[in-house]
Amino acid sequence: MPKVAQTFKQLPLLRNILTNKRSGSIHYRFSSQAFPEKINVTTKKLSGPDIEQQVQNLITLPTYACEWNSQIQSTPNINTDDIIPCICAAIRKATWLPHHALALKRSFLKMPAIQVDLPNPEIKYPDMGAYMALYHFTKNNPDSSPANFLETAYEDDDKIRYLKVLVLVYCLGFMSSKTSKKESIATRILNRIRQV
Amino acid sequence: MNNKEIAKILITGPFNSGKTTLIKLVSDEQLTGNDVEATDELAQYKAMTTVGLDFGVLHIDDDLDVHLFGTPGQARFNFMWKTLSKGALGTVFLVDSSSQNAIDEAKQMYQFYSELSDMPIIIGATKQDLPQAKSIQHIATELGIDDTRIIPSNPCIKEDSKNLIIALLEEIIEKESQTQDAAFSV
Repeated sequence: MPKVAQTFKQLPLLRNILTNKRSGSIHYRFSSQAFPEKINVTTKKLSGPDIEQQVQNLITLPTYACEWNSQIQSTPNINTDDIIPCICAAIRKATWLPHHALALKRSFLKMPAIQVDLPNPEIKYPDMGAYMALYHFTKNNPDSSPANFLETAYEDDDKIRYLKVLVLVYCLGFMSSKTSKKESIATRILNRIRQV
Repeated sequence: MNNKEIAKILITGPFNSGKTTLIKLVSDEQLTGNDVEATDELAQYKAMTTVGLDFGVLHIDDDLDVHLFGTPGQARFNFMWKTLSKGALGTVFLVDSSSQNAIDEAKQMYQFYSELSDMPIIIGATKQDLPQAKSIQHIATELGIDDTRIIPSNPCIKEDSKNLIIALLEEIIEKESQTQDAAFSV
């Protein structure tokens, strides 16, 4: 296998599947694996052998290869109600090797300013304190990015808690980018030109 | 004092590809466009051609205008292309499908623009209705891009011109909204 950089590219895939409520499967391979594995996203649930462990691996380990297969898109209406607890449990148990945590953190550091949804009571994420800290931070600092939020963690424990909650809100689509100025201008022009 | 924000969109492409027509049809005001008699080898293709700039204004709302800059198509004006592209939201790139010479010129020009910055470019293949028109696939191969990125377009038809600008704006919006996921790319 050609040597390529390890990334957490599986997280945008996971997020896009969950937020678009599409069915399909994520095929992925970690560096230690000879063969790829897959997680199926089908109606109402994530499935696969030892699914919680698989999701935990997807969240904690960078992949060498990762792709989305939409062959089972014929069941388009997935229900995230059963998926959210699985993601929450996986994130709660997640631990990262220091260099993996750093790689993941670097990705969040690159993100632009964000806004975060008020936590849904059904989430039942065990560390709601971290979620509320993120929510209030982005609400009170409108131009704040994940990098700014991570800077507010002084203790090592907090650094991991804050990283975990960023993974949570990112994967579940509870975080959105602040609309960029360019995007906002393009949208205004688009609305006008459709009337020309 | 007028504090209107100005957004810039570039309309470019080689000689005789329909830039002037497109700007005329989608602008609320067309302020310039200096048509002169074509000379030299260009005269056999087109009686009048644009020197200097085509420039159109589209009023969006009380706070925003779009300036449409049509670059001169002739290669001898290429010193202006870089200057005009500064700060542009994106570029509509027109190619005359009916002439292999124009496609060859478009190839060089497209390379110039795509290397200039990562601003979105949408390509309109004009004169597809002419019998000698090259196929979209042929133009895509010549430009070294996927044929799904080329839109057949007749700039004389207002809807076609609008659709090119709309496609560009949609690409700009999509590109901007990808920044969060892009953080996970290497």
